[in-house]
Amino acid sequence: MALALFGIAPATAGRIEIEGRPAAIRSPREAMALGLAYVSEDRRKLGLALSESIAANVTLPRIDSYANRWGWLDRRREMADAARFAAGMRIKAAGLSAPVGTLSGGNQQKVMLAKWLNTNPRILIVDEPTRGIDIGAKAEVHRILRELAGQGVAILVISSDLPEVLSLADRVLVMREGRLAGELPGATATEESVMRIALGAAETRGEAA
Amino acid sequence: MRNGGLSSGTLRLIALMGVFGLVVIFFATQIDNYLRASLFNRTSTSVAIILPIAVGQAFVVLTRNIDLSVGSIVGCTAYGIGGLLAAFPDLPPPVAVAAAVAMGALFGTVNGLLVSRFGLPSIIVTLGTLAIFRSLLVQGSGGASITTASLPAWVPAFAQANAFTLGGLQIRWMVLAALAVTLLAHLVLTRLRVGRQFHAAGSNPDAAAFAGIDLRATVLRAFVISGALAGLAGFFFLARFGNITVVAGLGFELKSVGAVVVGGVNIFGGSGSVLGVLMGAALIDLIDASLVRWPLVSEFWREAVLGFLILAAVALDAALARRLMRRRARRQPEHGTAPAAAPAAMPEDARP
Repeated sequence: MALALFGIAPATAGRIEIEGRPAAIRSPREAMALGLAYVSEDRRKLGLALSESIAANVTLPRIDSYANRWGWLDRRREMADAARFAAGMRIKAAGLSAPVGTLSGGNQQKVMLAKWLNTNPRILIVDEPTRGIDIGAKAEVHRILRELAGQGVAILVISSDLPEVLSLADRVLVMREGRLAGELPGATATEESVMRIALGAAETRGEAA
Repeated sequence: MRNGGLSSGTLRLIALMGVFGLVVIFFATQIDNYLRASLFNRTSTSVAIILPIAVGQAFVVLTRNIDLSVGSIVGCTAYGIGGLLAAFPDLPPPVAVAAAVAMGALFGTVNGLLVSRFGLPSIIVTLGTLAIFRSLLVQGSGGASITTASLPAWVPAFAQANAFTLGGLQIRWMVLAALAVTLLAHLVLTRLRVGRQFHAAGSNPDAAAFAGIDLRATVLRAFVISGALAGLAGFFFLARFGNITVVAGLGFELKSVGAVVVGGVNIFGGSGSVLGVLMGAALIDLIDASLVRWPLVSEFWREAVLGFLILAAVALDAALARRLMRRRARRQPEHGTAPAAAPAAMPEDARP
């Protein structure tokens, strides 16, 4: 789905609407221009350039905005932006020039988030944002996501970690076998009610509209 | 790089300089009259030819590809421009050089389009064009050679022309030009947006595509640069040797890949510096020039020594990368980022 959303793989069906307007996305650049950001569940494959520095990773999706007319990069501004995210997210590293591959999983995840937040998204999709990272980093990631939601960013969290879903979500959409199976309000959703929909026990759309 | 400790790239440069020094000392004890200015002059002139090729190769390797056709491109451009100059001796020198670069870039474009548009593996594509370009040369020339006598006098003179001399050491214009190309490439790779794109595309192509980088254009650019610089080297080759036969430039693919790998560019793409490539090229040509004069070993072992160097460099890189990762993993265990401890761990320049 994410690949289709970003215009890399063609969508088999359905359409994309952003703020009520239909959007045709043919390339990642177009997706970014529409304010979309997608933080992949797979840090190594779709996420980070591990041999590159933290700063280079954070600035990559909007590298154009750091280059002048001749393509010369403003490295000071790159460093400043990376530093802002590193401090705000408490990324722990030997320095902004450290290759991302040398960081711990949790810190890599934060670099991923920083990279996409740097594009100033209006819609942020995070896929399994805390899989395989330790509890401290997980709490940090949750804090960052809540903060962003507070700033008015629409956030779609894709997660198979139920407690995470329940603690973060305003609305819970349950998918079963690739299809939307039901929707619950985040305030009243419980592990049990979500599981009931996920397993197909509850017919149609669950107890909330 | 800037916060304490040396980056692996800097360490590599220092290590290469150390090896370079050891090789000089070793051969100085083995060969009479080794440390002469003539050694420097000859070696630096051959470095001037291999360096542009290796720098171009570095761009290609950075994007996870390889260009095996560079030797054939050198041969074709040396021959083509030689023929051009023989036919039009009044051609201004800058035009002749530009023609060589353009001709090389054209060959590079063929490689780049085949690799980027059709998604073919570059090792196969350029193995094919290695043979095809060479055959074009053999067919086009009818086996005839370009001779020094047929060239305008300024061409061989250019290869001998000194920018300045230091004691007996002659610093030739050709050497300065090759160094300037290397420096320019270094700036492109480290300071320009396209440089970042080469690195990103090689380090993680999927992530780069996701971040909006045009992988096809990036790969095509790398091959065009490689071809253009091989074209420039073709002109240098013509100037230095004057006599160009259909085997001109044979084996430069091995030498350029050797310089790139010994210079510390990761053969799996993404990382490396052309300053390392400069040291790699210098080391390879130094050993090459020294083995010719080393009585203990037949000069036919030169290729084998080059092959051994490449294998040693790759093995060393693999071992170092493994150790570095292990050590860093131990130093930074997966523990929480306690808010109190985290700011202390951040470097000075990471704070806003």
